[in-house]
Amino acid sequence: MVFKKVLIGIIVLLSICCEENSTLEFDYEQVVIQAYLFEGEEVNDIRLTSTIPIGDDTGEITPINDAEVEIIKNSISYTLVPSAGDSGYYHYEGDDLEVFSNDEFILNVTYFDKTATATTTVPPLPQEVELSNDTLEIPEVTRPELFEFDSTRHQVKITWENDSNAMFYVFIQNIEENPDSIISRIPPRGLPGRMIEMPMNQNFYLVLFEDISHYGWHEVTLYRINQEYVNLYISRNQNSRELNEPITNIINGLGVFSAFSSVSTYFNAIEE
Amino acid sequence: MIHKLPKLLIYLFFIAFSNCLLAQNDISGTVRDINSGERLPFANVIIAGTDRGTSTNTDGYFVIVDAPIGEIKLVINYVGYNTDTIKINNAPQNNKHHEISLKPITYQIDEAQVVGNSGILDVSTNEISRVTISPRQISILPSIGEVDIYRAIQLLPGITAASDGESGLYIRGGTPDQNLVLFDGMTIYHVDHFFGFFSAFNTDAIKDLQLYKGGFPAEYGGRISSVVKITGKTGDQNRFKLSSGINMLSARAALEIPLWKKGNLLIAGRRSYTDIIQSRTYNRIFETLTGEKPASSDVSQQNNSRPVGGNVQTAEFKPSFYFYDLNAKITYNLSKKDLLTLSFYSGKDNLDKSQDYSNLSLTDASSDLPVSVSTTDLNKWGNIGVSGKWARQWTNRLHSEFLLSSSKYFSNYDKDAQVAVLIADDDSTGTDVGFAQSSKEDNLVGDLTSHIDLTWYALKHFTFKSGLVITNFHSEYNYFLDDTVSILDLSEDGLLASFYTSNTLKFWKNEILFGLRSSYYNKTEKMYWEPRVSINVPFLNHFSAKAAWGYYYQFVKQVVNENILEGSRDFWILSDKDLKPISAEHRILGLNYELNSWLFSIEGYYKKMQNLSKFTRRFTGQADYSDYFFIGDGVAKGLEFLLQRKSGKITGWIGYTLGNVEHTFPSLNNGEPFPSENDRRHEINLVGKYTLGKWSFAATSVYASGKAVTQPESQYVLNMLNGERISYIHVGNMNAYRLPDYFRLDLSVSREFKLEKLIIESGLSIFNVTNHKNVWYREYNLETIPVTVTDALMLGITPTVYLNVRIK
Repeated sequence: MVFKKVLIGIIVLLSICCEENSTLEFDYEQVVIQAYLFEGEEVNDIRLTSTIPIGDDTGEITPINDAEVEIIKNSISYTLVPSAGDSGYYHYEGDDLEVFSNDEFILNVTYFDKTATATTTVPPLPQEVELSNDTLEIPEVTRPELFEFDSTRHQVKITWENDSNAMFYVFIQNIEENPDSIISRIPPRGLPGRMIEMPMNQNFYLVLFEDISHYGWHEVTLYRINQEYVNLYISRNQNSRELNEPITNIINGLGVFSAFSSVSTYFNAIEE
Repeated sequence: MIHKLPKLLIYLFFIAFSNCLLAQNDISGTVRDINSGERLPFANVIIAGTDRGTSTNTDGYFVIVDAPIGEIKLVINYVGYNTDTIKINNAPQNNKHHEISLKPITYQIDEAQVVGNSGILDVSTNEISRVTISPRQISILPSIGEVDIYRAIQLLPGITAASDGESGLYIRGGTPDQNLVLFDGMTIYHVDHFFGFFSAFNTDAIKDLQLYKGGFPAEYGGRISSVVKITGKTGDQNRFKLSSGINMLSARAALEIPLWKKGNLLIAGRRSYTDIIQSRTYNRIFETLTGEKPASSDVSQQNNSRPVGGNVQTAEFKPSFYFYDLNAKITYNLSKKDLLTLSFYSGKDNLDKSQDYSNLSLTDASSDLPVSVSTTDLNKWGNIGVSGKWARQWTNRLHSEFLLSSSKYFSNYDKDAQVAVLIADDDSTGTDVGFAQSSKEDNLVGDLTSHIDLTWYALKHFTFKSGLVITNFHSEYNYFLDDTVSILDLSEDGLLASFYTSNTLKFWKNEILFGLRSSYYNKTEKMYWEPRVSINVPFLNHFSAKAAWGYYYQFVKQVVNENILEGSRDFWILSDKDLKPISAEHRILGLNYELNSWLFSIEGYYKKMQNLSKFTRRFTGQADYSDYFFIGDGVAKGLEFLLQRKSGKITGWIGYTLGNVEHTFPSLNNGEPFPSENDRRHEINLVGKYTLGKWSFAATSVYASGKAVTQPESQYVLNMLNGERISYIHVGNMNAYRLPDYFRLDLSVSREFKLEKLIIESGLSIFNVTNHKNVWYREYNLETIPVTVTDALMLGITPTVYLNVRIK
């Protein structure tokens, strides 16, 4: 009987003591750095924000405008200042900081009483960038017909030199002021006027007619990109059943510090 | 010490051999079930009033070497059976073989009159960390549809269940694949059904289960954590028997056929009828485990393949799921000294989420043409194994076994999507055009093993056991896209040759078990040495102190696929020079205090593990599978307390475990130690069984501190080159957070009705009586800003009923 009483007593005690609810309490502060350098351009695409704590219902991203930000090139420090407005963007005011291929840069951001730091190197410019044709004829075709449609005449092939298995990113956007929409029975991929692609290590890219949503001139920008930028795409596949920290090149912070070199070329999308 | 061992063994061999030729006052015999004549493995046989005793082997055989001359009393006990005492007149040179029969304790008799262990478990008095589970008795315990021996094991201190949906055993910080599971000598790789909810073992086919939680002797190898040794039921030797049963998920039947008074055949099978009738219990479990409703009305939600291109009409589809297992065992006495057994096991789970719809229409206004969508989504997994054993009793003291076994685990995942659009021609005849996409993922692991084991009860105080084990492993893992593109195509073979010696030496009242296992593994081209020793020191009548130490290696490991929603996608791989064999060192200390009806036991363990691996596909897009693995070490330590009431009106136990499992992986968590996923700091288990007249009541309860989990701490957004905004989450340190504590109380009531020719047994079980909201995992919707958090809960209150019928 003693055993029975002990058993019942423990069960009752455990059922009372065992709380069902749990709360999420995080107060971990990290600075988020989104810092991009472009070959041949001014340094003005450095943005700092704070994180949104899990459990914060507002979902607001707070820009950080009062951090100490410096960029170091060839051991010379260049102090960046906040850009106009409450944007969290920083830029370099002088004209003595230039971004060339193969330059190495160090970024230091001091905030939350700690310094986040990262390094990047400007990649070489893409070489031998060519288009197969500068016009893309858009045919009238419906979705069922697409299965048997010969689309080889209705595409533009972009090629470039890539003997070193380097990573590239292609970005295409319509550059007309008021472009006419392509009235098609096939919804285009990507955002209107822009295409979304993944980084690639190939030496060509095919623009298919069904990828285009508007007529007119399109700018094709081929970026040579670094691994830290590729890692952003690898890390986007996060899953709540097995959480992994996104891969970052920022020490003591989150985000990315990367550099790009790009070449642009153009084609015109016209009605067949 | 190790290099002196061969000399010591040779010395003992000659002493024993010469002794063997002299006087033989041995008492030998076989312990059987009084009703069925079935042999009882691992029953204890003790000479009353002395410290002399032994236990039966797998075939129910025992020998007490050089027993006292004259009239002596033998006390025989076995869990779930009445303890029996028999008188023997032991004459010199008497080679009489004693047939001893024990009477099983039926669960509705007045347990106050029972002499013996009427409980579910029996803690070994002479071996550390070893317990025996009685399959007969666990049917009384609350269950969730299926009577499950693994669920009963999970109630022991030191053993953790990951969740309600997992019957796998996490023993002293180890993972389920680190347990050596032997069924009649064959290795079982995958030990569960129903996405892990039930173990793969049908209790109708099990006679005995021995569990070593650690410190196991040298005769067992190839795993680093524990041994689950299951002896299959042989069946009734005297008469034909048929039994069957049904519950809310499955039906089962067992047939026992005597074979010319020389042996018997047992066939036991069960199959879920969940693909035909979906009970409420099934629907609840399926929904809890998969997050999907068994009948869904949204095609686009269920169809994970490439979208058709627009919205799709809704239609209903039902995933079809079933599992089955089949055991067959033939036991045949070739002679009084020779016993042949052939055991077969096959178990399979089948999940079919295929869909077939025709005459759907696209609703994005691009076409009114009829579209047909056909997807194949098949997932099958299971075990198949066979073992054959020839056991011979050469003399009273010399026993040999030759065992040949083959076992394999397979999982096949086949996914295929076909979309067709009917294009009408002018003459109204149609032509189908469309596209197809498929993927196929298959895994197979298996072994062909031969054992030769020799047991020589050489001296009064010395038993010599030795054996040779040769295992040929085979493993395949293939992943194909569209039948032609091979993503991963691995096929490996490995040969493991092991020799062991495991010897028992008794001095005064103490017993020392020492041994060595040496293995050669051809994939690493290395020898592995595994010295092991354990000691048992009884004192002050009711106390005994125990200790064990040993090294263990494991050459095959299971990689757990993270996505349980797709059935079983786990796969097994062999160790090689890159993915080195896992190793562990066990150190265990224990103290027992045992009375007739009570047992109090404390055990402390320290387990150091090396070359553990973690697997993820996320960090890299490389095709080389070795890039997916992170290698590290771990330490598991803990204290286990057990208070058991073995007999009386109420039997059961209270267990408490204080545990800590910590891993260190150089490439994870900045190289800092982090708690393992199966780290549970506190766990309390209660099991009670009460008999009132013809009714039996049972209760089990588990309290465990929260499971260690990795949680996101914050969210952030980055703009990409094309203007796209991507949301990321910043993740906290590995397993730095804890889910809420776990609590569950299950109750059951059962009763047996005896009719003229039938015995009917029926019962009601209620799972999670208090409907405690136990959190299984935390789900984060990472696509939204802010991230939304949802707790995925385990099963709430779930009643089930069962009915078993046996022909008398």
